[in-house]
Amino acid sequence: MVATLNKAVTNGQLGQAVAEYWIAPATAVAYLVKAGQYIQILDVAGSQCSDLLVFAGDDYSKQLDATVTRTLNGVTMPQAGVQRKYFDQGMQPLFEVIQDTCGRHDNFLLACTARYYEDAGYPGHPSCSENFNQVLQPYGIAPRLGWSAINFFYNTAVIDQDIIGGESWSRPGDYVLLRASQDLLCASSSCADDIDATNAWQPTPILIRIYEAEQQFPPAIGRHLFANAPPQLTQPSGFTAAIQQHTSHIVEYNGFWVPNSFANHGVQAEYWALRERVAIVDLSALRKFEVTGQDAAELIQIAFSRDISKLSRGQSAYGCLLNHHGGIIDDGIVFHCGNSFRYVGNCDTNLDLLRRVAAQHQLAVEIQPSSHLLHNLALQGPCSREMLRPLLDFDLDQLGYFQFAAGRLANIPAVVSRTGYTGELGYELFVHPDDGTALWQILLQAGKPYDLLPLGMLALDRARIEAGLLSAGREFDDLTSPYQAGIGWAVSLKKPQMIGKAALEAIKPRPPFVAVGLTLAGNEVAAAGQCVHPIGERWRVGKITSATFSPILNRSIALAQVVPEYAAIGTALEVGFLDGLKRRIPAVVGTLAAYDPTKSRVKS
Amino acid sequence: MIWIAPNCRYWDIAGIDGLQVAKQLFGAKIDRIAPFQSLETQLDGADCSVLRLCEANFRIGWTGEPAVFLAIMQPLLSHKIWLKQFNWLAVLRLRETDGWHDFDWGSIAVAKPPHRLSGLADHCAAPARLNGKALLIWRHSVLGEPAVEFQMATCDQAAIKIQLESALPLKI
Repeated sequence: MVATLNKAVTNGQLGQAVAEYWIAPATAVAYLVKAGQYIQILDVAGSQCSDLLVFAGDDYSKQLDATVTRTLNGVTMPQAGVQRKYFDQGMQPLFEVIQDTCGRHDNFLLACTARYYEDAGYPGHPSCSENFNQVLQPYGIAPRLGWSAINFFYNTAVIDQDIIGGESWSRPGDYVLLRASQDLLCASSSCADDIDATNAWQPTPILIRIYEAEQQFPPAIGRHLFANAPPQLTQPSGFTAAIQQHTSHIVEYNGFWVPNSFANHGVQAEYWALRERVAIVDLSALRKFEVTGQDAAELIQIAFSRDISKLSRGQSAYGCLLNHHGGIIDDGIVFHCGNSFRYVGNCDTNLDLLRRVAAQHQLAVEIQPSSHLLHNLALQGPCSREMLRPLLDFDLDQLGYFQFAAGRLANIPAVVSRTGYTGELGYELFVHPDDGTALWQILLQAGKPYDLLPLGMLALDRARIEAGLLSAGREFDDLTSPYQAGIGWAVSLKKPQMIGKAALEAIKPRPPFVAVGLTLAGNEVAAAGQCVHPIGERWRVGKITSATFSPILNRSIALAQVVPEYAAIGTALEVGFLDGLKRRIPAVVGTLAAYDPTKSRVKS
Repeated sequence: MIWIAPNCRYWDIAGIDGLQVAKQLFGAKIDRIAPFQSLETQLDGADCSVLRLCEANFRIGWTGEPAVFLAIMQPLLSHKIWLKQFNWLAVLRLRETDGWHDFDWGSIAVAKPPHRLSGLADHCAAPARLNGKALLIWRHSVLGEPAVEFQMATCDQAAIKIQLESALPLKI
C-alpha cells in the first residue's frame, strides 16, 4: 500500500506536520521517522484500531517488544508521564508516549492474523499482519504469520486470567502522540477486522501525522467528561513549574500533573516533616465552583449533605454531594462567602450536576467553575500556624477550625482556609495560578527555619490513611452511602429537603457495610480489595479499601468496610493475603482514624 | 583519578521484617530515610553506612570485624529476613574532597526515571546506566569523609572503571 498525503484533513492537527499518511480501512502503511520527531496516530471516525510496528537499527533488527515494555515500566501499557517508554528486546527505548486522548489500548495480542479470520469462517479475509507483511517487504523484512504489535485504540483489559475486549473506546479525533527515541521504520494499520465489535463492525481510516522534533508538545492524558465531549488534557497547576525544579516524579492525578515524591528527600522525610514540622502540598486538582443568586443557599441545602443554614460568613463545612439512592457523587467543602457559596470538590462534572439540580427545582442561581482561577497549596503540620502568621495581613489566630478568610499573603491575594487532608493542624491557601510560583517560593523561604519540605502524593496518602480520611474511588463511589464510608456524621437528615434523604433514612439504621480502621499483626501491608474474614472462617465480612504502614504508629494499618456485625471496636478479624487462604493476617478493629482519632491536632 | 578502596564490607538484609530489624539495629532514625537514601551511624562502636533500597531492604556497610557483625545479627535472624553478602557486587569509590563534590553525575550517566543524578544530594543514591552498564551511584560520607561510591556487578567492574576514567574530567 502506497502512503498518500491528504492535505484536506486538518482535524486534530497539533502543529505543522512534515508528513501525513492516510491509511484507508483494512490497509497499512510503512513510513520512516527521525529521532525526536513526533508521530500522531489519529482515529478519524472513532472506534477504529490502529496497530503499530516499530523497527530500528541499520538493518531494522531492533524491534518493539511489548513484554520488555511492560516489565520495565511495571504497567500493562505505557502512558504519558514517568512510565511512558516503549522498549526493544535490548531494553533500549524506541519511542515514548507524549499524549493520549483514548487511554485504552492493547499490547497483549497480535495484530489480527489470517488465522483468526480462517478459524472464524472467513478464509482469505484481509488481516493487519498480512498487510504489514506487504508494506514491510520493500524494507527487506521477512513476513510473519502474526505480528506482535502495539494495538492502539484496541479495547483490551486483562482481568484475572481472561483477556477481555470489545468495541474500541476511541471517539472521532482521539489520538496518541508518540516521540521517536531513535530513527525508526514504522508500520501502521487501519485494522481490517469487520467480523466483530473491535472496530464497531465497520473499519474506518486512520491518519498519521509526523511533526518535527523542534516542536514542543506537553505531556498530557486526555479524559472525556461526557460521551461526546472533547478530551480534557492533563494540565499543570500554578505550582507545577516550581515543583518540577525539585522532582521528576510527576504523575497524573485527576487531570493535573502532581508530584509523587521529591528528589533528595523522599517519602519518609516528607512524611515526618508533615507530622513534626510543616510541609506544603499542591492540591490544585480540587475543583472549585461559585454558587451565587438568591437561591444559592437552597441549592446547597438540596445537593449537599450538611445543613449549611447554621454556617455564617467565613465558615465552611465538609460533606458530600449525593445521588437519589444515597450514594456519594463527590466529597468536598462548602464555603460560606456571604452572598454566595463556594464548593470545593473533586469533579468537573459537579458543574453539570448542580446546574441540573437548580433547574429541576427552578432555583434562581448561577453556578460558575472557578478551578482555573484558584489553585491551592496546603500548608500542613504543627508549625504551620507559627510559620504562616507573619506572612498574612490578618490575624491568623482568629481563624478557627473550618474557618477561612481572604487577605494578602506576602502581598499575594489569597484565601486562607483552616482545613486539610492530613490529620495535622494546617491551612489551605488559594491563589490565582499566576501567583503560584511566587507563593511556592515565599513558602519555601519562610519555611526554612522550620525545615519545611514539599510533600508528594505518596506521603500524603500515607498521612490521610492514618487520619481516616476518605479518598474518592477507594473509600467511596456513587454506590457507597456516607454511612458506609464513615462520614454519616456529615449527613443532616433533619433538613426538609435533600437529594437522597429518603434512601439515607432507610440505610442509616443498618448500612450494609461500616467503615472501620484495622491494625494488622506483623509488618506486611494489606492492599485495597483484599477480603476481611472472621477468625478461621472462609466467608467474608468486608474488604480493605486502603492500607499503609504507619511510621508514627510503627504498625501496619488499613481502612476497611465490614458488615455491622463485625464492626465493633476490638473485634478480632483476619485479612486474607495472596489468594485469601494461603496467608491470613490477624487484625483488630479500631477507630477509622488510627492516628489522633479525637482530631486534637487539627483542632489545636 | 584516585580511587580509594572501600573500608567496609557490605551486608544486605531484606524481608517483611526488614524495617523492624533495621530499627532494632539503628533506631527509629532508619525510618526517616526513603529508599535510595542513606545514613551514617555506628553499630557496636564501629562505623557503618546504611543504604535503604526499598521499604524493607537495607545495605549495610560495616567497618568492623565480620564475626562481630554476625554476632550482632544472630538474634535478629529469627525475624522474617535474610542476611546476605553478595560476591557479585563490586564497589568503586572516589573522595569528594578530590574535587568531585559538585560534579554533575548526570553528565556522564543516565538515571532510571524518576531518579535524578543532577543535583544528587549527599546521603542519596540513584540507579543509573553508564554506556548501558548498570551502576548505583551513591553519595555519602565514610568515616566523616565525603565520597561518591559506584556499586556494580563484579563482572562489569573493570569495564566501568575504564569508562568512568574516560568519561570523568581529569581534575586531579
